[in-house]
Amino acid sequence: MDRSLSSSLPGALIMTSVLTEKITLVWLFLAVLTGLSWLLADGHEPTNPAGFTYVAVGLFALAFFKVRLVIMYFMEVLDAPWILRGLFEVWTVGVFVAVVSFYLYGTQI
Amino acid sequence: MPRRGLLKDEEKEDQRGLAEVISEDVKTLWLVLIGINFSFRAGELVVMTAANEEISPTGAEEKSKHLPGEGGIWVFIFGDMMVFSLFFLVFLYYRNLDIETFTAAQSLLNQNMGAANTILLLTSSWFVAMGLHFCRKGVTDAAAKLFGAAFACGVGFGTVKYFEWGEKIRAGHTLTSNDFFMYYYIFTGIHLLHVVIGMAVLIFLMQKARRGQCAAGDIQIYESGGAYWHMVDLLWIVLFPLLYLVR
Repeated sequence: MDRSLSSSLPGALIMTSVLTEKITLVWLFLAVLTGLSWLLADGHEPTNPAGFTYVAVGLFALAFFKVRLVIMYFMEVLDAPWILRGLFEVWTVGVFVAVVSFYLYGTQI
Repeated sequence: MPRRGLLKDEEKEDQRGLAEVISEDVKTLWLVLIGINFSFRAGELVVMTAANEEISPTGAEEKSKHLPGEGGIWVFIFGDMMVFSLFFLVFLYYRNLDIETFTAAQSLLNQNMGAANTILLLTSSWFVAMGLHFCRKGVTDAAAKLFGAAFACGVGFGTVKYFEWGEKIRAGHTLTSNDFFMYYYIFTGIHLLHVVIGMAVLIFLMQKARRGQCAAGDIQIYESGGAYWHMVDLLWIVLFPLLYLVR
């Protein structure tokens, strides 16, 4: 009896709660960024990889920015103890720098 | 006779090439193992420190900090993320050795399917985050439905992958076609394995929410399962541009 009272809310209330949550905005933003990176990659000729370098760095930057949003808001690391947050911040920036470096100078590293 | 001599030379060349490839692969394997070891040790240290902080907050600011989920899950998640970051670098290293093959093979991939899968995983992550939100409020019916919706997105992801791989295999692009396709199948395969494990976790969370379990200890389990699913999502966020978009 207690359970059914606490676990059920009218659908309209649930909908309002879903739409006003910050994570809904984060999700929308992530979807827009995905569309953006898709368009960015699509608008360029595959036959000219040399001219694609800046676009590629931009695509990686967008991807790691999205990764940070998922870690901070979906995984809730933003409000986690500083050492966990710090570790993930360092991972995101570190792997982004390493990925771009390997993309640009892979064989020379 | 000269042909036989030529063949022997070619065989020697092949053997030398093979030896080089093996020694390269051994180096890569060592790198991966060192990375795994390092990341697990670092993860243990972080989780122990974070757990201590939560138990004994030293100031008002510390009190608002909250370690989501169980400590062990973060060791696992961080270790997995370290392994995948090595995958990204290994892929880029070999790509630079043969950019032409990689670019030509990449142009055969279906970007629309990759993008569709990105959106599916992002949406499933949002469902899981909302599910956790409702569990905390004690509205477990809605939470169970949201975990179910996330599971459905996982099924969608697997279905897209099934058609995508099928299309490639029918066209003759298999694991052994070239280095690009080898990495493509291995990395997306390992990632798909993570998706399948995550879907089993989502079923468990859905059943738990259906039973109306939302005590403090239960919330920690929802947080752990959710964090794992979000990791699956974020790994794909990097794999998508790496394999499909970046030329």
